[in-house]
Amino acid sequence: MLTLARLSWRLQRFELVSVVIIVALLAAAALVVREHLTALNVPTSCFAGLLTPGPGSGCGAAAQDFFSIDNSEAVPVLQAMTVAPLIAGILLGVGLVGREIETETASLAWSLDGSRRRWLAGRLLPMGGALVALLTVLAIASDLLVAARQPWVDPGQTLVDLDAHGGLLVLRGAFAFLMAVLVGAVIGRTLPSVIVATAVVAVVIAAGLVLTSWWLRANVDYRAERVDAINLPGGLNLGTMSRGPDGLVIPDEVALSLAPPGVDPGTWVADHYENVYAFVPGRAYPQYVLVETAAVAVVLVLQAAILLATVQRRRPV
Amino acid sequence: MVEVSVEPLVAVGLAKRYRGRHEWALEGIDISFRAGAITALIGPNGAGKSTLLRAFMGFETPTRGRALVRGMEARRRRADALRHVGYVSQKAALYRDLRVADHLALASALRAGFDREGARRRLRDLAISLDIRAGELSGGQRAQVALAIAIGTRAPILILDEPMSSLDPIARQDFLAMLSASVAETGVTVVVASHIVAELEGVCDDVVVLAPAHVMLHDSIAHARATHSLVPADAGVAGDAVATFERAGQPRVSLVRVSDGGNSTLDDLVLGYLNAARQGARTC
Repeated sequence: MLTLARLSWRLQRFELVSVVIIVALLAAAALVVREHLTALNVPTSCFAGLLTPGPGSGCGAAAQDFFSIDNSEAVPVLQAMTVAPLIAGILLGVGLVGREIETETASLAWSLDGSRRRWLAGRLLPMGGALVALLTVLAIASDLLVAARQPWVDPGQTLVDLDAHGGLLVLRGAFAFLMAVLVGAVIGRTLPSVIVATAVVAVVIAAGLVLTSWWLRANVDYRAERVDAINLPGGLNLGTMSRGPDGLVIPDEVALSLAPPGVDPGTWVADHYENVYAFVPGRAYPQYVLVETAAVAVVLVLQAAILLATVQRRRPV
Repeated sequence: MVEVSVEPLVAVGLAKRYRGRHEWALEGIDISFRAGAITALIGPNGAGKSTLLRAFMGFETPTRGRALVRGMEARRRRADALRHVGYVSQKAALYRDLRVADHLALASALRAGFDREGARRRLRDLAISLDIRAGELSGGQRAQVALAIAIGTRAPILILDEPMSSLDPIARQDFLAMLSASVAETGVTVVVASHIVAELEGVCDDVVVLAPAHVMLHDSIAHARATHSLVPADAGVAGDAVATFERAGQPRVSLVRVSDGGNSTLDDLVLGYLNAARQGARTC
């Protein structure tokens, strides 16, 4: 197994080195930005003074610097964190079986070991293991950065930067990896597989975002008072809505459309509806992680089963 | 699973039609390759040589019929069947970024009982460095490495799918020398597909002429030569004519079956039967 692992890494040295560089740069960037943010030593009370109306604590300037760094440095790094696992997965996955078929080396490997399941395990595990190890580094770095940019929040209880940190990055990378291996095995050519795998991963991630949005809406809560990052630590603000006397909450535009003809809709809504803030509390984060982990785990098992069936039936050229 | 045969390689009514193709690549072939013999599988491009060999490797799913390796259906019991087979593909494909030594290590990891030391020795004898990357090898050297790996499996059956098609004469000679030495040493059963007829004559025991999709001739080379003669087309010699054909710059000739004392070469046999196939003959 060690020989297979060593040779697998050597066969995909270019992709592996590329992914190591991407992960190292991004993790280093996260740690540098975290250092920039923590070095400011801004007390939480400063954020309260800046974000909510009322008497400030006189340290607004420091908080302004904090948010400036946050916007210009932390946000781009976290945006890169959302796509890096997908890129890493596709890079490592697409050539794993696809290139073997393209260069016809599959016929050598598959003639030496008639059990393609064993062969596939020998190729998948070293590369998948390397990917998981690298993405774990990225996940830890992203967690540290997220904790630093919201020092007033428990990092395990925040929905902010939902797509950009934590163990979910590892799972999404694993999904992209298996999808790329599968597409490569079906198409049997590297470059077209990169394009198709990228498109398929993008579509699935978009579908995942829709599901996430449904889940968030299913867990929404309402408050009459304004919610923001401070008085709603770790929560996700979904904007304002209108609550009728019967307690039913509807979007503002729907409430406006219900105004009778001849009256000012704004005044009518203000008289008949209460303006409320919709939000998902940060404490829902562990539950969200559980749901996404379970969903991705099911997808990974399905992908692995389809991949195995594909490789079993595949002609080597 | 019913094991109908323990012959090394047997095709029973083997037929293959690729998806989206109208014509058959193989049309119900029945053939058994003789144990311990080197069989030359000869035919034009598209005759189905690779399809037949790949069916024995479990690489192709037959549309009908069965490809059996030592009585085991190659596609269904691939892991068991392939333990008995060493294989060299048409391109002798190797991992261009791996060194020759890495290929031997890979073969050791994938195939239990792989004779790494024997493979090393064979390659050293051919002055092929174990430290060179496969991408830097010549076509002939790649084929030699692929053959050394196939022989190193210690499999009792070797399937060689046109491994010499892109080799120069010297490389072909070295390849066949290595193959002959291995067969002499181990007595393995070999099927070698090729276009190059002349060089196979001195090495092979049996010949199979595959015309598009079906077998035209399957015999030992010695017997086939002794029972076929090439005669001028207008000579009117008694015998069962296989085909009449023209060779470049020479008068028309006929390949005829005779009871004995035939004078044909392997090249004559192949040309005769391929022309017979072109003229519409369907069976041996």
